[in-house]
Amino acid sequence: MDGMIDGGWGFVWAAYGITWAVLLGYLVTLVLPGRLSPPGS
Amino acid sequence: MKSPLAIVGLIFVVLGMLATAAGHWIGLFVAPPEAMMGDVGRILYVHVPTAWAALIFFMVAFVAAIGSLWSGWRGFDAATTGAVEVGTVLTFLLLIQGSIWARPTWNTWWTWDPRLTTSAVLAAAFGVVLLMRRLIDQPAKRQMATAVATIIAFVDVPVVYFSVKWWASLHQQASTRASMDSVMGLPLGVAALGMLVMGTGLMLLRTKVELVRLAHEADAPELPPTAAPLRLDDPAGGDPTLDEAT
Repeated sequence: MDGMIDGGWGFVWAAYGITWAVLLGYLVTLVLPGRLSPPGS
Repeated sequence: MKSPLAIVGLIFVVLGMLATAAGHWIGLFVAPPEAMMGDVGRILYVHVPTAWAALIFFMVAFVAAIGSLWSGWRGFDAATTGAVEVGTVLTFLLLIQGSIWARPTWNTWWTWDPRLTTSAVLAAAFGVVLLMRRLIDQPAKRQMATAVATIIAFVDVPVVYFSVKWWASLHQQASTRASMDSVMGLPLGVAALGMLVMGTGLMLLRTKVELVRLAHEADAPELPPTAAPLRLDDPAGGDPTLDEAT
């Protein structure tokens, strides 16, 4: 198709990959032992 | 983890992730390439839901901040923190996604376009709210400062939303059902719903983390206002074991 940008899957994977990595990493920081319950409980 | 808030939060995160993954799958492998942007246009299925969710969580933070100021209840303070943090994470993500999208389409990683600039200000403003919260030790003062700063930072949210209407912007106008085919609207809608549910789960978990921290802080014994200085020339004020050793 005229004018359509060719390729670019690397940009697509980068955007999706960074998003999922950050969100999963953030989730892990929230469920680390001791964060959702008081220490010693 | 027996807290109902944490359990509900985790359920929301799992359901939200499943829906988001489904929307992304359709956007990546089922939806056709965008007419002008080609496959790069698939970034919109992650970028637009992230932006919508970020603005919604800042609205939640705004409401919680008003509740926090109004009632002084610790739950509102924790909810404000949870919503601000999730909104800030999503805003930084949308800036990164937008930058990745801009390189092949605008031929630049960044430009001081009104939408981009106001979004960067949004991330910075709420980042300052979170930073400021860490720097204030006194709970009541911290709660009030967090709420006031959140309300001030929220002023930028409508500016971000309307920036593409108010000023000449490189950024495209808001996507609507009328502006796209249903085969593209489906992955966008599913991913947006998923991101909202996942973000709600993350916000509930972060709120619970903050409630635990605040309760732990309230239970901690009061420290003396100033520590007694150690004086080596005064045996009464020094450590007696030091004298025995010498």
